Amino acid sequence: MLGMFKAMRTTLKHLPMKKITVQYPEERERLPERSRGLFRVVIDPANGEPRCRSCTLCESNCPVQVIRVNYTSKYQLPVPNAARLAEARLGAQPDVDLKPLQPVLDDYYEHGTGLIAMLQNAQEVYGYLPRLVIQEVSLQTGVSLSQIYGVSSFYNQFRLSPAGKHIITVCHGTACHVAGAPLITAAFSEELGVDVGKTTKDRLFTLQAVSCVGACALAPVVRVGDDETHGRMTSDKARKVVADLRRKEGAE
Amino acid sequence: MDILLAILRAVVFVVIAYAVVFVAALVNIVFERRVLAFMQDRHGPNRTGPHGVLQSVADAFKMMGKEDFRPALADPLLFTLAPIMVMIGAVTVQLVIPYTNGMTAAGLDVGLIFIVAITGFTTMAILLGGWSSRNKYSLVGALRAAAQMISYEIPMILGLLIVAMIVGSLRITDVVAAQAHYQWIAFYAPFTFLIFYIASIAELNRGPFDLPESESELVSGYGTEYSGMRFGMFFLNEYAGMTIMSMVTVTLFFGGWQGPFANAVVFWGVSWIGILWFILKSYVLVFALVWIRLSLPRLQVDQLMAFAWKILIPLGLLNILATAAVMLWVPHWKWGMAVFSWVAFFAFVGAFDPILKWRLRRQRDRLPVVNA
Repeated sequence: MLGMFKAMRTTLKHLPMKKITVQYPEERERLPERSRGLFRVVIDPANGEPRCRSCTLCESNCPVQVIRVNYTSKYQLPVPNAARLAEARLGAQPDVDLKPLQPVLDDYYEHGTGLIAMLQNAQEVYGYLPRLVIQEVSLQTGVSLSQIYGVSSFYNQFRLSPAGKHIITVCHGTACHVAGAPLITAAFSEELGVDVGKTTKDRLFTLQAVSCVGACALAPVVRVGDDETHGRMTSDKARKVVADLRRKEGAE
Repeated sequence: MDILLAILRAVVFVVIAYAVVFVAALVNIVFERRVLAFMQDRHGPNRTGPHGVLQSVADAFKMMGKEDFRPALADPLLFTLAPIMVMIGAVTVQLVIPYTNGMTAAGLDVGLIFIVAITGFTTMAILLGGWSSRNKYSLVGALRAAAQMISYEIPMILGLLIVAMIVGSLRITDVVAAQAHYQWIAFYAPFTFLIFYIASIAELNRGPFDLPESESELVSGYGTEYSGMRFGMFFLNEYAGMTIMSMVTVTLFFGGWQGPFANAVVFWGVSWIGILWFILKSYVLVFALVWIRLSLPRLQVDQLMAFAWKILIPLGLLNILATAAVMLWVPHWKWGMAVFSWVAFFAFVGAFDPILKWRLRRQRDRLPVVNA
């Protein structure tokens, strides 16, 4: 029981001691000299306008993501952000329907899917990531537009422009390259009339090159869409593939 | 005319009893929060009113404004009855306690027994509340409370028994009268006081014995499903209990209302200064309750039970035996008892830690060795 008395002596000693709490509005601690304190926009003394041009670079670079650029002060860019977004919603790409996006976002609300998963789902719905979809995701999730743009442009799997109905993927792995993948690509390019990474005008074909599809035994390999694989390709066979697909489209 | 006076007297005392409970609870909540805060180097609530004294009032209004929620499966009658019943103990005990000279509601001949009997009501209310709310945490909390209060009632009674033996009467006013001229029983029987005080803390479900509502294990024990003013009643009872129990302790061990100039101002047959002494002494003990609560960590259930049944009850019985022997055979038995009790007090305090350490070490040594 002596131990208990010891504990009680310690607590009693603290009774009249100085209190640690700083009672904020009445007492204020001195800030350290180099404290930045409040962040504010620097005003250009020459014309009295802010130097900030709302480029949102600070927003995307901030490591802890505490910065959000919001133009609501009296210093505004010609078109304020919110209005710009609304305008974008109405004006740009009116053909994009946001209804199928809602299940994707609901999934995010319910299960907390991550941004990348959400973008993947959105791309599954639209085939690419329309600007409007990215804006909508940003508006609803609170992730800044710049960050979504950063993510979607970093990963190859995300497309920011609409892809063709048939995506022709030419493998450029070592085995395929040795077996003549560049020639195959050139043949496709010539036949379709587009460069690698582009889509034909009629939105039927997208030509793209990837590093490896993991089928070296069949080199050179070309995949059409997700489920059609052609092995041991030649330039002639490439033209035939395109012709077959065109005929099929024409028949339908 | 006598009947009318008797009724008036009864009404006055009931009003006083309820007022004491409510005021004590409100005061104690602020008092405890402030003292705890000060001991933890904080300020505590100090914004509502001067030095935060109105904090409890604000809290009480908040409580009343809350939704009066009752779980769908709870027993509606018992669930409602429990918070009402819980106050009975705290209010009724005051019947036999003399606030001051000439200010006792009912000078019962069996005052000591009455105190023990009526404090048991709180246990019943807690058990009722925990059982009727159909919640496992509530039930476990209530059962813990019941087990704890039954266990610790015994050492408490053993302590009261010694008071009765010394005074030779069960009447509370006699107990106070026997302690005139600063012959407080706590000075004659400090060991008895220690046992009684520990048991009374356990009875209050406070301090190191707050298992029935241990937040870290049982959400909030028997009160888990209670909200709003019903929870408020449990809360009030708990905090009023601090004062009530301190009042009982003061009356039995510290001379009650007696003190310097206690009888200086007398009108209507009541010594008014005595009330001040009574309140002062009670609040020294309330402070001790708060202080103990802050300083000591909570016991485990098995430790709690073991402490009551293996330590306090055997020692209480031995204490009675020794006291009886001293009273029978020692010529100036008061002095003999003081010597015995002080020796026992210091022996208990001094031997407690070494024996505990020894037991714990032995337990540890007996644990099977596991080579991972």
